[in-house]
Amino acid sequence: MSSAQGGSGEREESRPKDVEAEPAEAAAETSAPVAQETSETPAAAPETPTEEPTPADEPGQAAVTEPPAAMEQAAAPEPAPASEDPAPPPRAQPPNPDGEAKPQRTFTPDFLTELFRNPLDPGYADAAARKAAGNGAVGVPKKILSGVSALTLVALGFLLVVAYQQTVADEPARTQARDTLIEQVQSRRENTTDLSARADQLRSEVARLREQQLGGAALAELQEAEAQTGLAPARGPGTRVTVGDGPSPIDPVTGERSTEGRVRDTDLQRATNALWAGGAEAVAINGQRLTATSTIRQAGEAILVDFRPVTSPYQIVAIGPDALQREFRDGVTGKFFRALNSQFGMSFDVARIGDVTVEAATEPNLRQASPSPQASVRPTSSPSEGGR
Amino acid sequence: MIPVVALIAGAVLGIVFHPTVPPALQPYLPIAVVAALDAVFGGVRAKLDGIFDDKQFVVSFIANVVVAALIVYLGDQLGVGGQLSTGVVVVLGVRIFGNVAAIRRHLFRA
Repeated sequence: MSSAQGGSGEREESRPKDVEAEPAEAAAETSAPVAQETSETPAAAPETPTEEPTPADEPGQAAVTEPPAAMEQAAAPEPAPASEDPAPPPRAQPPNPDGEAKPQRTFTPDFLTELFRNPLDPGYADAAARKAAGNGAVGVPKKILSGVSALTLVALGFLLVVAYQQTVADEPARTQARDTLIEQVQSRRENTTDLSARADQLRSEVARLREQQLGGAALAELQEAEAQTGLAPARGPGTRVTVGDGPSPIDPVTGERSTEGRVRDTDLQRATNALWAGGAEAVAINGQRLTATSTIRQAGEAILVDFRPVTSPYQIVAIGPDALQREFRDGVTGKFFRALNSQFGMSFDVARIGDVTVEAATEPNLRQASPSPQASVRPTSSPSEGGR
Repeated sequence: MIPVVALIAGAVLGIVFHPTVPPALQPYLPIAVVAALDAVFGGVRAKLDGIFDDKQFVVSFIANVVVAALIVYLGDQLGVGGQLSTGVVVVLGVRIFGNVAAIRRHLFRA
């Protein structure tokens, strides 16, 4: 079946392109009557459309096959261009029993153009031509064919419903998967909250038990050490340094926002280092206690202190000696920030505060180190040196 | 009239029997539907053109569905199933669109 279809489609393409450019619709409407009129022309031609698949074809040969082709064209949604073909003398052809009444096939590369121009299955045109020629529906009664056609439509309805049901049935599965994932995320989050609460509870219990066991001088020493390392809250007189982003004007030409006036992580690092150097015992940025392993990093436009974002204005509170505030303000760092203030408009303020409490670091990150089992092995056996 | 009744009958059958598609055949179902739609719109247009042929319709319907499924199957085996499906859908979609446009011109003269 597919060969017959392809044959006729390619046959039509062997016509000159300018003729094909006619509206297919107009031709199709008048197709049936024309097919009736031309039924007198050789009837053998439509029966043999696929006998000679000769790819190497030329326009001249299409003209040779004019009489049968014209008859088929009448049924196809195309006008029969009988008058436009120049009909040159026949070329040397392979042995052909039917003589001139032999449709030739052309394999055109322009499949998509044909597809857009003529979307109807060419088989219908062929069938109509066969009917017009008086030998359609060979041997099969029309009623049976209609029944098969109806059965096909039943199958189509069945197919559509099954596909619809399948699609609808798939949808809940997808939603369910997503819901399950969301549920998992939420339950894990709750779990984390519970666990951290329990960790806090256990930590305070440990501290209480330790206080019971130790006592006197040892406990005081421990508390002092904890306060200094950030494991316990610290309280006392201190200094508050406030640094804020300056204005960030938008460049009228490039439309970019200037980030020169923003506080950078290096600025905060400089300030905290200066405070440590001035004798601060406990430092916190926006309430975030710094420990010996704390980090102040820039991530895009945000500044992260121990991987938690802090925003402008940045308040650096330091508990330390009375001279700390003066030292900081008059020292190199103070000058640096004043320069930033005058140049970029960053706000800068240093104030003494009589009594302040600095919270403990949120998560005392205990790190554990153990000697590597390979440490005692000779260094030459190290895999990193093996390939060098 | 008969075609519409047949179509509805098929839909009712599908609703009544509610068959479960085997997982192996599921990827071919949408492509088969598109191919079937192509055959159907071709048939409708041929009807309006006055050149409808039952045999042609049945054969093109079955062949369309089978060939489309085969192409997708082949593509799956070669690892280009998605791309080949896209190709099938594009080609059939163009044909459906063209035929529907012709049907529209028949029905509305516009």
